[in-house]
Amino acid sequence: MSEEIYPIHEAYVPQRDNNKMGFWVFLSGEVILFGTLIGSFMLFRHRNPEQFAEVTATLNIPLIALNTFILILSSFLVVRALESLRNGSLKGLRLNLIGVLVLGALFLGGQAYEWIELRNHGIWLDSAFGTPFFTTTGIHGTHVFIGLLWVIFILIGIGKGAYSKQRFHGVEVFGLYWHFVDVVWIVLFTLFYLI
Amino acid sequence: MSERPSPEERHAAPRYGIVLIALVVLTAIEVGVSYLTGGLKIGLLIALAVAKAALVVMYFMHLKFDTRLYTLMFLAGLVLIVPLVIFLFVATP
Repeated sequence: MSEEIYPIHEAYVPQRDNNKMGFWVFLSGEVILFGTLIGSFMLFRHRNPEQFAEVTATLNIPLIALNTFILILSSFLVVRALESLRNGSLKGLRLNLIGVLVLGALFLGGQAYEWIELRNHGIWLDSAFGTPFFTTTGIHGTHVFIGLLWVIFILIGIGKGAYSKQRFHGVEVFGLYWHFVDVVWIVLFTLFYLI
Repeated sequence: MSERPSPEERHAAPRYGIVLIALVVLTAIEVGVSYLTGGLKIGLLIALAVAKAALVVMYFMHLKFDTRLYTLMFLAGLVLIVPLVIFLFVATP
């Protein structure tokens, strides 16, 4: 009787897909955020072509290319971390995430060095180049910093038994975040430094 | 009721090492192209950046193997940003 009133619903709606879906919605919002920032940079560039050409010629491309390699390698380690967890290796998860922590810190160190270099060249927030450049790269760097805090929380969680071969979704969602930060940098590297 | 296999379980694991090598090589090519001059440079750099971003999104973020709904959600953001940036250029004095 009760089954007639409340029939068993057999539609397959896995909770983990909902979690991922929610995170993709968040990432879609992040696309809007960074898209607007990049659009603003292009607008400033369009209005001040001479100043942008002058400053772009002084940018430290080898340093930023190295930083790009570092971030790409960190993304690869995040993939390896998730693979390790799904194969039941908490040691592999831990080691790869420590690698991500080191590479992420190196990236931020490289960015700080670049900012100091630019400041010493007289380029700061009060210029047509500096306003969109420091705002956008700063917000991206903040995302990297938040990612590193997230890694530390995961490392603490490993010690507390929060992750296992079956409970990998937290690391999977972190991976989406970190790879997205990598994608944003790929775009920034091309538009801000190379073109 | 047995659980359906997740999308991850239905396909062979991608060769992430090859994706990494491709990303590193493409980045090196980008740096080389940046020293070129002329109109071709910008087109090449944008094409290389799109290729790199697509590799990360498709393989590292697993979008190639996941449900199309995630792709649609991601594309929605990309599509929405176009009129926003156009408005930015048109409306800003």
